[in-house]
Amino acid sequence: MTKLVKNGIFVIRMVYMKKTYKVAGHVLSLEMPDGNVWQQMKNLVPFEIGEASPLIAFRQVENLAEQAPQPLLVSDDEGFPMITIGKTENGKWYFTMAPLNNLPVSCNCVASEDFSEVDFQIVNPRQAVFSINNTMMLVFALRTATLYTLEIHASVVMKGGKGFAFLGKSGTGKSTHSRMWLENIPGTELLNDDNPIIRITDGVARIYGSPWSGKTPCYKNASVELGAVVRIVRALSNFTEKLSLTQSYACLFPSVSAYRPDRKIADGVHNTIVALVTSVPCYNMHCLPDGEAAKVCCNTVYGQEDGS
Amino acid sequence: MKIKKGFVLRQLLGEYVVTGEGLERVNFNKIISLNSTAAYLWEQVQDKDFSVEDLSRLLTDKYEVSEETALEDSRKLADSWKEAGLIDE
Repeated sequence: MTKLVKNGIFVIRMVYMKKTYKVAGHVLSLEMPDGNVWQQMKNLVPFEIGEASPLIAFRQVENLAEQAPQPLLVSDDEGFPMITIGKTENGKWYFTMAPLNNLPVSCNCVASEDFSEVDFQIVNPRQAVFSINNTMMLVFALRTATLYTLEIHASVVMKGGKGFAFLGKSGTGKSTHSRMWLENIPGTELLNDDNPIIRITDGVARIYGSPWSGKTPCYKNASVELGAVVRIVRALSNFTEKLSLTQSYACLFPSVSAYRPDRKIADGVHNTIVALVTSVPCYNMHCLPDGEAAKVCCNTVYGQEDGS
Repeated sequence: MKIKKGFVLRQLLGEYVVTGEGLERVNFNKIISLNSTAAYLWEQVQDKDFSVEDLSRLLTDKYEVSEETALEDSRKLADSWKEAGLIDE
């Protein structure tokens, strides 16, 4: 922010800064006023690259050019961020976002029809970091749905050049299972704890770290071939169960972004999940939150460990 | 009855699945799998008003099946679709 003295009156002029990032091979740009929000968004730093033509351009604006339309969708589950989606008169998407369903809106945004350009307005500066991250995640999922890319709700570990993604509803123990691997399986490293990205290229699925990782600050700019998808199911003993193709599809479907507002996006998500379940094995891991669970899982998805 | 807006039938490697999509169905986080007969009926009646008798007629027209069996199977199928929240009465 620069202060200019003009005829004795302080004029505050925003200086905008633009940075470019690469997430799962997709280029994003973010433009917003210089200030401490940039310093708070350390999660983006590992993904920064030099200037490049972006797939999605995010830009903070003082005021949106569009009027808020009647929302077509209100997603207001208790304990989760609240999101509304509508369409403006000239066919653009209009989102509002709040940190929780009982809190006021913190951010409004307008996205072009193909989600390549996004203007966002920060209503509550104290929620700027939340708003920017969630806007980026939401639009990233929508924009890349047709590009064999899935943003997935999972915790992922890497071992021996392969990634293992643990899925499940909130609270089933995805992160705990990852921790059990880290503590009990030598050579294991956490890739991402909440929102990794899967991308399929020439029939090969890779899993990428991202700037979004839930409560765990694990923002690794790395990727590995996806070795297996494992759904965590709480049980009284530890055993794995290989899933059929339909079961695998059903296992992945609720773990990817639920927003499929038009047919093109829905088809994209469907095609990507089909390509994924035909190239990567999926399992149910019935387990306790213990070290043996990690060993049983590792034996199935990775193979026997010598001397451990 | 009628299939609700926002449900889409798709092929999944020789099998059939119905998923909810569009802004109407964003909170429908289930997959319904259909066999090929049910998928055939779905395709015939989507976007239309239909009755159990209509489903039954579609079955007897296409398959070697008695009217009685067709009607019973149709009733069961309609009930399961209703239970899964796929149709409006």
